Amino acid sequence: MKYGLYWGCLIPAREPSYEVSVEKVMPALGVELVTMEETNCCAPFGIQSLDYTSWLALAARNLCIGEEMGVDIMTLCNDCYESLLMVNTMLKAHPEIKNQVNEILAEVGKEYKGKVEVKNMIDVLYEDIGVEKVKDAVKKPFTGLKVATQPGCHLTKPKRIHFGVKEFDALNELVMATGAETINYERREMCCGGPLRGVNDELARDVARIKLVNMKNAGAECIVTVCPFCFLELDLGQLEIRRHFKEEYNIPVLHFAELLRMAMGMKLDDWEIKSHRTPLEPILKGRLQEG
Amino acid sequence: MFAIRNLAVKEKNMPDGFAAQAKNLIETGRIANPTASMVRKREQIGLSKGQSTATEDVQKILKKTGFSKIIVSK
Repeated sequence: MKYGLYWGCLIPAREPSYEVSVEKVMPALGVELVTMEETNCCAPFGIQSLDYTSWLALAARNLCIGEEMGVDIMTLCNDCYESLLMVNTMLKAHPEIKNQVNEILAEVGKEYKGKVEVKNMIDVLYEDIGVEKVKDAVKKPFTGLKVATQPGCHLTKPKRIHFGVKEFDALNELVMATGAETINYERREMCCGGPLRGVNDELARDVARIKLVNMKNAGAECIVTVCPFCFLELDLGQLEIRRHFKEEYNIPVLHFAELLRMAMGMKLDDWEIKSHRTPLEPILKGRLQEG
Repeated sequence: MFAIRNLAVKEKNMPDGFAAQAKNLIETGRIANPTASMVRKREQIGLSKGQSTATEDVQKILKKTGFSKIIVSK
């Protein structure tokens, strides 16, 4: 099983612990990852709003790199996933748009042919590897840990592209494979607030607060995300909310890859633990050594 | 919806946050890049400095689509 790994912008820039965890976990589960070189930004929703044609062309250029490598693409960020998946779907369905995009791509010597698929890491774990194999790889289960999962917006939306909401439940099933419990909380499907950053920071903070209140009320001991924007909003966001509202939540936030890595018996390094702004200590008991 | 937003942008109406992302995109091919301290941290922990980015290709594409002109004139 081999995938072209599309890192996107935010993970290498802000969240190297996510990067390291993916590089440790996926090969251990039999997935060969080959980093896609000389890529560009996926052109997320903000760029769509600025200029639709530029969005199509920039996302398509990344798809061309996957085609040239002869592999399907695995993404780690919900925005990258949405952008590349939507453009791939549109270009395959609409030859006239594909031709228009290829005219632009000719400027840089590329041609989109429509021979690549785009998956999120959750798709790969759930569909290609399977929950049972993930469960078999777990050596140190998080027995009894109450986890609030935050799938984020673009793992499952728009539904017409994703053909349902399987990833929504898939994340919970994968978390349960680590031995943890998943809890139901109000408005789980709601945005983390992250996309509002730079447009209305106060509203972004208020949206994140609603999520944290609902998670806390449902008894969450840990939050698990799959999107680097959700991670920042709910981890770093807890500091901002404490400062502004004088409210303490203290719910540790993990990328799913980090949770799985620890469940598989691999420890997080000291710098990784410190890179989380909301302390991880409450969930690290017995996990500071390998094995 | 995107068509209306695109028209608004052509009339120079866009959130400052999006304009900043667009500027980064034109200059570097990315909307976010590792800071100098993150580059140092990445090197210390054995990771590459960052990703290889086809900045020149991005600039050619954005010139062709007229994106650069829209944003620069904001």
